[in-house]
Amino acid sequence: MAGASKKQGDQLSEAEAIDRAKSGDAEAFEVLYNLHKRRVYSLCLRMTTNTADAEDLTQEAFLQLFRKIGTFRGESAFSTWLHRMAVNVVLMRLRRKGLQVVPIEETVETEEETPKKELGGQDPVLAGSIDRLQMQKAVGSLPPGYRTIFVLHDVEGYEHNEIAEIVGCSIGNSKSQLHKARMKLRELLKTSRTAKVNKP
Amino acid sequence: MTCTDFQNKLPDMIDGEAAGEHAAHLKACALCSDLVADLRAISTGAKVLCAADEPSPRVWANIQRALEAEGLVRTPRQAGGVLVPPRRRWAPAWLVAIAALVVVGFGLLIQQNRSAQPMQGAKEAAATTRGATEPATSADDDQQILAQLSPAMRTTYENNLKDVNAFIRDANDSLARNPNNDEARHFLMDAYQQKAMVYELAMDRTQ
Repeated sequence: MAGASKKQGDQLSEAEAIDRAKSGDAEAFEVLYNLHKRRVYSLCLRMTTNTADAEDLTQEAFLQLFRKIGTFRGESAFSTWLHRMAVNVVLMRLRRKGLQVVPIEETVETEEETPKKELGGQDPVLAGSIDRLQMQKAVGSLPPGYRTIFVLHDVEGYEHNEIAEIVGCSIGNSKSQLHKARMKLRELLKTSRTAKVNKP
Repeated sequence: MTCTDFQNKLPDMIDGEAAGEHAAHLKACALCSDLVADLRAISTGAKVLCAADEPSPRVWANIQRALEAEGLVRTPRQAGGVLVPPRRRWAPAWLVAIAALVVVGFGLLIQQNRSAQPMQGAKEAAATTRGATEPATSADDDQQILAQLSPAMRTTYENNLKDVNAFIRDANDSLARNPNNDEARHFLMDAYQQKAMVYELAMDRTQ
């Protein structure tokens, strides 16, 4: 009995719900959906930046999960299994749409991506001043390749070796794209903060 | 070490600690230490986006329909071992009425507000919105719906209703602050539609 994952009250624990879902129990499907819907949907929304696409992909990810739940043997955590499935569903969709999901190996750094010595007064640091909406908007403005790596690493907590495997790039490329994504976000967040301060 | 040397090593260093000459440069250079502080703040701040958003109840409704259509959902076998065909549980009429009231009542209210606003003060309009919508669904209605559910489903729907009620509160606050904003009005309408869908889904689960 997975006591640790037992939920309060009379709700099924995740382990019980998985067992019951394997035999097609409708309530168990719903319990699993409710336990994981926010994370899966947020992942889809971050990567597509479109609510209709994100809902569609969430639906697709859960349907795949329920179709394959009989094959889940518990070698990895259920949430890991599900999120990996969701990531694959999203990446397949992005590729079908012809969007760049595999970061380009070696890019020529543009002026804006290259850190440089800034002259004049220093900007105050961003620490403590980033709110969710600003962050959401800035991440949505990233090019798809950068966004994929940033969401997988900084939002979802995947390691570079896992990202390299999922996306099909080298570990070094994943690190370098993540750095560029963060640099781009820094620029976007600073611009949005300046615009806010200058607003009459 | 120059700033360029330091910053060229950043992609490898940012998620760990700087050591040796990099650490010394970081300590001495305000520009690079601000840069590192910003990049770390971005990395930490990104965590708020994990599980931050809620899909509309429509997603589950579609999944449910697809599961039924594909025959993935089974009902418990009877003693004789015969598979019982799926049966739809019809909700009591009062539950249906509440869900309908939520959406229809709110739609009417938005229309009223739209025409009343030029004549009223902004704050007054927002107060009317809030005052008139509150009785449409109360905590009692939620409790009555929850009481109809099986214990396994109750906690799930309790959480869903909490989320959607929080959404309605946020939307109400937003409309109170910006009474003439169409986006805020749509936001509130969307919140009520979501609540109606949660009721509708709960109805299908009533015992």
